[in-house]
Amino acid sequence: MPNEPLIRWNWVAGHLDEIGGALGQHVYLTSIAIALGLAISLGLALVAHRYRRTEAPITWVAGVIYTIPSLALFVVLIPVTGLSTTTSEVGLVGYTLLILIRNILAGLDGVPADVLEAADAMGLTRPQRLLRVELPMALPVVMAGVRIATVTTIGLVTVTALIGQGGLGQLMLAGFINLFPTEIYVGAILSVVLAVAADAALLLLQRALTPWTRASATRP
Amino acid sequence: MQVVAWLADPAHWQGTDGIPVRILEHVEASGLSVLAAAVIALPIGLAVGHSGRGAFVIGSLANLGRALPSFALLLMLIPVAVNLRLDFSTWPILGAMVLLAIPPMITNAHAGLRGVDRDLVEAARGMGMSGPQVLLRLELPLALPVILTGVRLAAVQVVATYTLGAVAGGGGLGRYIYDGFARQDTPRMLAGAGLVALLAIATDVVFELVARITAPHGLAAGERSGGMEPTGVAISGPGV
Amino acid sequence: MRHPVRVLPVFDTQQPVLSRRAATVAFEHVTKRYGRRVDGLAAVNDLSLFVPAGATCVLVGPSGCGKTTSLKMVNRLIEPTGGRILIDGQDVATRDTTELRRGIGYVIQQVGLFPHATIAENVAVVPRLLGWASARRRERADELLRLVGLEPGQYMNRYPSELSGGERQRVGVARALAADPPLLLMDEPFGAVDPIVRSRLQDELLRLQRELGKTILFVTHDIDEAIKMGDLVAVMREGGTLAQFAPPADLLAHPASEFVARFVGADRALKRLTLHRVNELPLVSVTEATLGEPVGDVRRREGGRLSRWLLVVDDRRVPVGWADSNGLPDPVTVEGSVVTGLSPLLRRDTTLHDALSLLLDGAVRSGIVVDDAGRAQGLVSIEEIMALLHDEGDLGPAAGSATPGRSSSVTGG
Repeated sequence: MPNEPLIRWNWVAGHLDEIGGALGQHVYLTSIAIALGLAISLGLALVAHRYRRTEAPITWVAGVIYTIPSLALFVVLIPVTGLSTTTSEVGLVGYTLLILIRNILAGLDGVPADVLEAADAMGLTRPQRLLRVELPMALPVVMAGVRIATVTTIGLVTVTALIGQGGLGQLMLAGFINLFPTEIYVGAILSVVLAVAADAALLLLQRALTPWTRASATRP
Repeated sequence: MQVVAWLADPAHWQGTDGIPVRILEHVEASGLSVLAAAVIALPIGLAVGHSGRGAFVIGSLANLGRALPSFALLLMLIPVAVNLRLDFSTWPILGAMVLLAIPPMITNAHAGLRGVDRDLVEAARGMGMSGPQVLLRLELPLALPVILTGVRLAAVQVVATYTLGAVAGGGGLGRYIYDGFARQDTPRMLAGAGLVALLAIATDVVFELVARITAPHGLAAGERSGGMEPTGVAISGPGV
Repeated sequence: MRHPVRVLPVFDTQQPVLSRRAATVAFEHVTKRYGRRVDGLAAVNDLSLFVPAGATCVLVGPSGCGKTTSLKMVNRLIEPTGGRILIDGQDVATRDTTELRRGIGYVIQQVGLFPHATIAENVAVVPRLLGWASARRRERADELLRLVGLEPGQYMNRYPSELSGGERQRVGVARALAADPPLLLMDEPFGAVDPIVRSRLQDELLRLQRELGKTILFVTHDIDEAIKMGDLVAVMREGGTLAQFAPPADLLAHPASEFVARFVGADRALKRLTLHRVNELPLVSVTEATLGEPVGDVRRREGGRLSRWLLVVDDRRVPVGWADSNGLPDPVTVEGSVVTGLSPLLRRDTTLHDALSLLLDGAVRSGIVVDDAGRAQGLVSIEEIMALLHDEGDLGPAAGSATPGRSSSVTGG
C-alpha cells in the first residue's frame, strides 16, 4: 500500500460493470429490507396501537434487536438460514423495526382528538377511520421514519459483505484484502452517495404524498 | 448447547484470547473512544445549544453521521493509517469509533439545551445570572437527561462498531466472531456474538440506570428518561 | 315552495339544496353515572325533556352540569347508564351506531376538519360514506359552501390550515348539513372564535334555521348565546339535573329557582329586551317641519295648533333636528339656525336592548324611528319600553307609569 494513491481513476473506469453490479445488489438488498420492514412494522404498530398493552413488549423486543451489534445478529442467524441473502435480509429487516414501529405509533398518536371525535360522530367505522384519517395524517412522521430506516439500512448492508453479500461492502472488503485503497474508497463514497440520494428521493416522495403540509396557514 | 459448552470451558477464560481479556479490550476501547469523542463533542454541542445559532449545521451533521456506515469508515481509515505509518489494526477502528460517537453527542447536547424552556432562561437572565451561570446552573441540569441520552447512544454505537475492528486485526469480542467465522468454529462465533450482544445491552441498561439516578428531582417522569421510551432503548445509528 | 320529505340517496337537482326535514328528540329519564357504585358521581341525572321538530333547543349551564354529556348521548358517543333517548320516537340504542351517526350532523368547537383533505373533500365525507357519486358530491359541496357564506371557487380546493377560525367553523356547519340530516348536534360551536366573528356566525345560523327549520340541539355555557339562539332553553346545574326548561322569554321573566335566577344574571330584565324589537312598540306621531318651510304653513297643517317641538326634516324626510316652536312667529321659515340637537335614530328591527342603550347613551327619553331610507316614522319612548316589560309581568309597579297609546310631550335631544 505505500505510495498507492487513494483512488486510482483508471481502475474505476475499467471496472464500471463490477461497481454497477455492487451498487445494484446494494439497492436490491436495501429495497427488500425496507419493503418487508415497513410491512411488518405496520402490522405490529397497528396491533400495538389497538391493544395498548402490547405496545411496551413489542417496542422492547424491537429495541433489543436494534441494540445488538449487526455483525453479531447476522452471525447468529447463520446456523439457521445459512450464508444466504435470507440471513442478511432477516437481520436488515430486524433493524428497521424499531424505527418504523416507533414512527408509525407516533404518527398515529399525533392525530388530534377533535379530528377523531368528528370522524366517529360522522359515522366512520373504525377501519374507515384508520384508513381515511389516521394513516394519511400519520404519513409525514412515518415517511420520516422510512427515511431514517433507509439510510441506516444502506449502511448496514455494507456489513453483510462479511457474510458474503454486501453490495458495495464487497468492493470495500476486497479493497482491504487486496491492499487496494481505490476499491475501498469507491465503495465507501458510493454508499454515502446512495444514502443521500435515497434520502432526497424519499423526501420528494413525502412532499408529493402530503400536499396539505405545504399549504400555508394564512390566518390563525 | 455447544455454545454453552464453549463458554463453560475454562480454557477459554485464560490467556490473551480469554474471555475476560477480550471483554476488557472491548470495554477499554469503547470507553476511550466515548471519552475522546465527548471531549470534542460536548463543548461544541453545548456552545451551539446555548447560543442557539448554527442549528442548520447541527442538523446536517446528524444526517451525515447517519449516512456514513461505520464499516465504510473503518475501511477508509486503513489506508490513511498505513500512509501515516500507524498500526492499522488499532488506529483506524479507534478513529472510526470516535468519529461516529461525535454526531449523536453533539446533536443531543444541542437538542437538550434548546429544549430548556426559554421563559426559564429569560427569568434567570432577568435575575442577574450571567451567561455561563445560566448554562451551568440552569440549562445543564435541565438538559442533562437528553445530553446523557446522547452519550448513551454514542456508547452503544461504539460498542457495536468495535466488533467490526476484528476485521482489520483488532481485538475485543469481535475477534471471536471473526475468527470463529474464518475457522468455521461455530461455537466460538456464536459465543462471541452472544457476548457482544449482552455487552451492548448491558451498556444500554447501565446508562438507563445512570439516567434515572441523575435526573433532577421534580421533573415529570416523562422528562426524566430524557425523551426515551420506558423500554429504555434509544434511537440513533444502530448497533453496527 | 315546500317539497315532501325525500329519502336519501335520491337526489334531484331541481330540489332545493336541503329539505325541511326535522326530527323530534326526547330524553326520558336519562342518567349517566361514572364509576361502579350505584350512588357514584352522576354526570347527567334523570334528564327528561322533549324537543319538537324544527326547534332549536339550547342546553346551557356551568361546567360540570352534564350538557355536553347529554348531547353526546344522542349520537351515542357516550352511552347512558339509565333512561333512553328517542329520535322520532325510536330509541337510539336500538339503531346501528354507524347508521345513526350518518344521519345526524355534528359540530364541535374545535371543528375537527380533516387537515389532510381539501375543504370540498371535508364537506363531502358523509355523502361519500353513503355512496354518492363524485359529481354529485362536488355539487353538494358547492351548494353547501354557498349556503354558509363561502365562495366555492375560492374555498373548494383549499386545505383547512389555510382558513381562519371563523371560516373553518362555517365549513364545519356545511359538513354537518351535507347529508341533509334532520337533526343537528352542536357543542359550543362558536366558542373558539372572537366575539365579532361569533356574533356573525350566530346570526348566520339563525338565518339558516329560518330557511331550513331543522331540529338543533345546541350546547353552550353562555346564557346570552342561549337566549339569542334558542327556541327552548334547558338550564342544567352541577350534578346533571335540569333546573328549568322553557322558552327564553319565560326563563327571563319567571326563573324557576334561585339557581336559575343567578345563572341567568341579575340583568335578566335587560336581557329580556334583547327578545323584543322596536316594531313591537306603539309609535307616537310627531309634527314634521321641512327645512325652508314657513312656520305658518306648519301651523295650518296642524289645524291651527302647533305642538311645542317640531321635528325638522330635509326634503327626503330624513330627520335633521328639533326646533322649539315657541318664539318662532309664523312668517319665519324653518332653517338650520333654529334647529337644536337630534335624538337617537332607531330602526324597526333594532332590539329594545340596543334601543334602550342608545337612548341612555344620548341621555334622552325618546328616539326617532326611521325606515330603511332613513325617513322619520314616529317616536318611541323609554316609558313604552318599560310598559312592555311590565305587561309581560313580574316587574312590579312600574315607576313613572306610562300607558300605551298616550302621546307624551316629547322632549328633544
